[in-house]
Amino acid sequence: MLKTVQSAILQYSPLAILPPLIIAGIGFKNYTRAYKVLSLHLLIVSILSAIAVLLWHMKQNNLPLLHIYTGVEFVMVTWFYSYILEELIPRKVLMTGCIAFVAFSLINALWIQSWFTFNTLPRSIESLWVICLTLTCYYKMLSELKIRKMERSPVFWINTGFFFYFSGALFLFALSNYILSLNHQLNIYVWTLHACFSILLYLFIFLGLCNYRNR
Amino acid sequence: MQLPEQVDIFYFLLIGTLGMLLLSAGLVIFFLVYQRRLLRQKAQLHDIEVAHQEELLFSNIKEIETERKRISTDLHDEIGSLFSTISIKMGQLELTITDTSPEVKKILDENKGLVKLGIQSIKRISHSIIPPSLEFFGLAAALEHLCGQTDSPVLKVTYSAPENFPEVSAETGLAIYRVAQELLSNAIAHSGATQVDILLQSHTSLVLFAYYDNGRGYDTGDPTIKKGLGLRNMESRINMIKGKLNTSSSPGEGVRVIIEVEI
Repeated sequence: MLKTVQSAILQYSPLAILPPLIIAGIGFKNYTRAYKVLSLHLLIVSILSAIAVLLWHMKQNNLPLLHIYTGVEFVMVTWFYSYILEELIPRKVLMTGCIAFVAFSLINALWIQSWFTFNTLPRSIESLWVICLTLTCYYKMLSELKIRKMERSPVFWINTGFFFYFSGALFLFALSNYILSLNHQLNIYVWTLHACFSILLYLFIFLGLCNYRNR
Repeated sequence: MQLPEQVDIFYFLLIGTLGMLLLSAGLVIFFLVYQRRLLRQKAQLHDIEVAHQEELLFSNIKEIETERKRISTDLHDEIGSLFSTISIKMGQLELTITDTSPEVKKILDENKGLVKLGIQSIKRISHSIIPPSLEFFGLAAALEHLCGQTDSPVLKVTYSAPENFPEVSAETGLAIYRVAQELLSNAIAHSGATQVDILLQSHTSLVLFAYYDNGRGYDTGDPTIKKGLGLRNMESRINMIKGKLNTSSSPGEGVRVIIEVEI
């Protein structure tokens, strides 16, 4: 029973991105720049996920794609937050961070950790970076007090989604290579857990975009 | 079969991950609770600020009325009595003067006329600042007198009030009287009205004042017009006596004002 559930989660979790992607596609024209960037991020992630799933079905190692995915995710999420936090953090600082991270990811893939292993270092740094951005966003919402009903704020849901995902998966990202070397079944459990976090993330993004439509 | 170390690693990972998740959830809940608390505090501060501003405004209005009363009293008692004295002296001069030439008589008559005009002006100004009829005869009589003074061939003012209109407090009477003064002043100066109807009524513990004119009206949504017509001032005076003021108007439709005050 557990194995069936586990298998279903692993197999169907990539589909969790579809609801927010569809909502983003419908409302794209009316979005502000931040939400347009988020929509673009969802689109790119969908394409990369689809390619990753295809490679997995073809029994090919899809880990090189993860290196690319990490860099793209970092840049897109930081770009999104550069609009949300523009009064608190200068955009130049965030964009410099992006350039530095992409450079580090490349260096990591070429010389530190191979393309065909989990990029635990960049993933962990990315998690810490995004956690800091999400905490800054919470601070901004508290200090401005512009939003009366948080449950109706799109930023609150999207920010919380990123916060839960990267906080929950930090340990997984940091230890993924070590776990892979230990036991295959353990690896499956870990990535099932990650799949649950992914579903949570896209659910929260979906709720955020729904609230944007209903403003 | 998993080695014990692998099971330990797995549990370490699971607990670590769940721990992070719980911590995150706790932080989000704290954020939501704290945000609500801050909003409540902000609302409370805002209410305090509004109450304070209202208090300052009412205090200001009271000060203005006190000052007006002082000016009116001084004007009547000091300047008025001075003119009365001059009038008496003019009379004495007329009796004692031996030169009865027409030029001298003309100058004396002119001076007597000016003094009389001065006395009348002082009375008029003093009474318009603080009407004695309001103090001695009540609101209904004061409004009747005001409407009578304003009634003219250009602007017809009708007034209606019951004979047994109850006594109201000095504050209430003065507030309603000032509003009526302001409305009539606007009718003359701005509205181009030819007809004004004022009604004063009472029902058990409620006093009702109604005003209507057939002037050009105004856009009630325009804040600059509100300020220019002294409507904010009227609202403040009625708020001070815990009354309700309702204004309705639209361009070309005249102005209707209803005041309800509990006495």
